[in-house]
Amino acid sequence: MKKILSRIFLLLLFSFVFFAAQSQQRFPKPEFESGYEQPTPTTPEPRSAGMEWADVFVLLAVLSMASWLAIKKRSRKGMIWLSLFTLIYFGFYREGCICSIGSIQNVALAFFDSGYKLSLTVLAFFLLPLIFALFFGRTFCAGACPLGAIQDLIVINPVSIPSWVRKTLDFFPYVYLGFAILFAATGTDFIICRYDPFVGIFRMNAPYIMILLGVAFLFLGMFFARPYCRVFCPYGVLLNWMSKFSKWHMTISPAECIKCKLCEPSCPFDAIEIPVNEKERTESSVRKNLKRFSFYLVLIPVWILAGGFALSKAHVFLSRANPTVYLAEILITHPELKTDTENLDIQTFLESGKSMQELVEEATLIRNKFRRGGWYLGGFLGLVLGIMIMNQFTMRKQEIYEPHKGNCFSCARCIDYCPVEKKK
Amino acid sequence: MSKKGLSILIVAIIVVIIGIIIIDFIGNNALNRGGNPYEYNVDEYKEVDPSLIHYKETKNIALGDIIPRGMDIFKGDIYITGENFLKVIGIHGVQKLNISLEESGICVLARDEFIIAGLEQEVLIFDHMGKLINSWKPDTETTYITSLAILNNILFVADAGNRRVLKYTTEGNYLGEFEGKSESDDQHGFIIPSPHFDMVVNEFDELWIVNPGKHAIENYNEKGELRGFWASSSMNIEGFTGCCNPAEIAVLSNGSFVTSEKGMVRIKIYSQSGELESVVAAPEKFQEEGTAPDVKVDENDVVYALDFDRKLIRVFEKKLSE
Repeated sequence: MKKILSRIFLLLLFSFVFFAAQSQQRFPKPEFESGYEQPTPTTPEPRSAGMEWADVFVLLAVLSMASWLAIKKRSRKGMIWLSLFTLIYFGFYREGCICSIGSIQNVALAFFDSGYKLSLTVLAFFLLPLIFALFFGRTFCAGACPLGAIQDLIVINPVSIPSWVRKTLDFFPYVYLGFAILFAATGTDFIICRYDPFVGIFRMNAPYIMILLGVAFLFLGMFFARPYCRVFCPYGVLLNWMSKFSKWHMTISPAECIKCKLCEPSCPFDAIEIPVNEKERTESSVRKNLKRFSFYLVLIPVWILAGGFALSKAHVFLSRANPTVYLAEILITHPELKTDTENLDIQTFLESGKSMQELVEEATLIRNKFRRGGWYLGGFLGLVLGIMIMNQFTMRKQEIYEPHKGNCFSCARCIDYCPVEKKK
Repeated sequence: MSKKGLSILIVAIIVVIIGIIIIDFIGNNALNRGGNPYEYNVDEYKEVDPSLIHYKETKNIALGDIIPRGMDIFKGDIYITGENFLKVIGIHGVQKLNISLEESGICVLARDEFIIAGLEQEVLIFDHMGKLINSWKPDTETTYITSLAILNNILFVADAGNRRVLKYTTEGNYLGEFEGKSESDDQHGFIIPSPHFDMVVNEFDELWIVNPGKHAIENYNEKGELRGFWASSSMNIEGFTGCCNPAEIAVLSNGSFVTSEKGMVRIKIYSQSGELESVVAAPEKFQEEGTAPDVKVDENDVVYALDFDRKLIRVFEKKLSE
């Protein structure tokens, strides 16, 4: 039944998006004059402050509800209904904006650009899920994220991919987060919003490439559950960090785990920690691992320096993503392009009254930011990579089945698999 | 599919997604963005599959230094009206009659007994010698006459300015009018956003009126009651585009319609029930964003198009192989 519902849901989504893309314009125009005057186009008013706070309130309520459902009520069914509400409210009604994932960029830009004012509601959207994750785990992912909700509904036949592939893919959200912050901080682009694969579905309108991405993600999500959350979501990185320290994280068993293994295949996200066979832990293996661990620990500063150096060297290439830098560069190398009346970017610059010198100075400033940012980003990615490699040699002590606090989305699927009764 | 196969597929899709994002991101710059994304461009719709074009242009008649507005074909002669004139010219371009008008003629209709000229706000009836027999003016100032048709001795006068069709006797007695409204809720009266509102009576004595705002051709009885219609809206060749098309129509002897469109100028043939049968002339034959040619058909189903932009009467005949 769930499979059929999922397929119908997918079909509806795809057809909405394609029909929206097929809309046509009218040509020729009417000729009769009826005295009607075209109204002057106006910029739509932003959402009123009251309504913005209402959104924050809804987020707070949904987060509280999700945490209660995951930890106290332990109800998967309740979580599904809550996800549906989130999908309708934050997805289709609010059209995917504002979302906590994208708010990373607003916060980053406000941090690095004093001219950009961050609204309190955006800050609340950024902080609330992180605060909740710090206490209750990633309940935001379970019930309050529209991107998570839309993917959760289409999980049909999830497969568990090899551990080495999973661990390799785990690195990508850090890369995405790093670049999203770099591009936001330099005023280049909000790439998280631009490449949000589901916003086109929520708005029933998107460029062709985004429709393609949305469809690809949904198709992928049928077999590889929540691909965006696991391989791309930059906010997931922050939630993962917070959740690792969560005090009251959801548990699989309501009481003592009896290690029945029933929950083992229940998680489509491979986020259940399986008990380690202590018999395999020999003194020589411990020593060998410790040696390797120490070696890679010492190597971390090298990774940081190498990453920082590499990306700072790439700052010229990276800064071309900034429209000002790119414009300055092409106008210097191809001054004849100034006569290209078809090129909107160039014509807009020429009509702005800005001089070439001003443009170059502005571009130089941005390029310097990229050089500095390249050091930070490269260093950060080097650190992450170093820790990830080093962690391959940690001796895990795991005695019971429990969710991986960082990776678990607190979706409550595994709860239904546990035969242990709650102590009264 | 095996687990290993699925894993490979999953990784491959992820790699493709990342690749698409990177390529799009790198490619989206001032040089690669291409032309103005907000530019209104309908060029792709101007292409017509050559196999659809069943007609060829066989002749044209230059009209010289006059401003033509409307045309009719009757018994081998071409009746043409325009800025302060009504002319009759033979099929080879020889002028047979020239009547001076005080105002511009918009449309003309020739029959055995008379020639009727529709000015913007007046109907004039001449005999074939050019003598004025009768004339009258509809009662409103906003009248804009665009087409004339006769069915069972009733003269139908299309008034685009008031979105109505007036009915008269050929002596000028007012018989009534209708606005194309139907009793059915899903129907609408005539929607006329431009001064193009054409009518035609076919071989089977059916009155067909264009409802251009609805991209429809509607069949009415003498009382002005809607009997049937078909409509086709599309930017593609199969339909009509924009605010108001078709601008002009004519009928072939088998009842098929010849339609002429403005904006993206093209002449096409539709079956009686509205299926596209063929194309007479593709947009490339006309001036870009030009005026819709007035179209008429003679007894041999040869299509005559009055090309206002080039001041030509262009003759289109069916290709022999068709």
